[in-house]
Amino acid sequence: MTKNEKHKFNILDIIIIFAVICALAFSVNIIIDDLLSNDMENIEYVIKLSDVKAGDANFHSVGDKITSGTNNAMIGKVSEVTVKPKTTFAFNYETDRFVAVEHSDSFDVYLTVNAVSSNKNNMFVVNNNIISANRLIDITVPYFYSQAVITKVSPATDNTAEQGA
Amino acid sequence: MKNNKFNIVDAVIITILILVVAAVSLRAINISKANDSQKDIDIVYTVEVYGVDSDYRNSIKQGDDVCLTGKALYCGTVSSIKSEYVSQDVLYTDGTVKSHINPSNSNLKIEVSLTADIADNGFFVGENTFLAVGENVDFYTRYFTFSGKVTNIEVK
Repeated sequence: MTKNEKHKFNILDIIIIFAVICALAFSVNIIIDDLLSNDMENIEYVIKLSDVKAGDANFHSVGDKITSGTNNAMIGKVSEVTVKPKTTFAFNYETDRFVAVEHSDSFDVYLTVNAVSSNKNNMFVVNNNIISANRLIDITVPYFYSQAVITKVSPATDNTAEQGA
Repeated sequence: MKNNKFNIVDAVIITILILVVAAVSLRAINISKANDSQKDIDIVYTVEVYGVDSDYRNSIKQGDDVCLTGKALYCGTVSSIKSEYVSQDVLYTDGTVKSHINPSNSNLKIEVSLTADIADNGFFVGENTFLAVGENVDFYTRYFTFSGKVTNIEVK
């Protein structure tokens, strides 16, 4: 003998339906937000690698592709490489003030990078990486992986940027 | 008669219910606080940023829009920036300590203009996000990311 149980619509069903609707709305919101963020522009930014040894400073060349260490996405192409001796400020007791000291065995490498960025929430974003001065970024260039800091970002003056995607 | 035993599904649903009620209550409290505020007041607030490297000290400029990191909320427009080198204490061999300027880093005082609802030594950005004097906040402009302390609010 089989029982015919009638399922009564109750508060738990309402909660589950509400949760599913919220999850769907949240997903749709994210998809639409991504679709609408297609305002692209060429940017130029500078990243600084600190405390680079003399041999490692030579690994960087114009034309190198830079990849984000966070999500393995390409975030631009090097258009200029500047290598400077690392400079720190040390107190000089003779002159009674802080003075700049150049280190002969350690270098700061500045890479100027061109990229195509989307404009999201008043930020430059290249393949889901926020590009903004004073931000730390993990980068990979050919034969080299490092944490760097972004020191400057600006709209590019010409259209030499390579698509980051 | 079927005995309805309390199981893991019931526990999950009750937990979700409690979290939803807590979130709604918190939001209601924030909205109530916002309702007690003075509305649409032109203010200038000061954000102090410490130890900015000289490489990017000039990345923030007058006229830049300031937003709150995380929520991407507009927080005003930079109206002025004052920059000074950091001071560092130096210990001399005779045991005295003197303060000297170290040009490797700078402290910035950024004044930001905003029309906002103000209340209780702070102000609201967005619908109900409250920034208080003395609070450390993460901000960004189009070109510069920074963490600073809100140190002052003045009504224009």
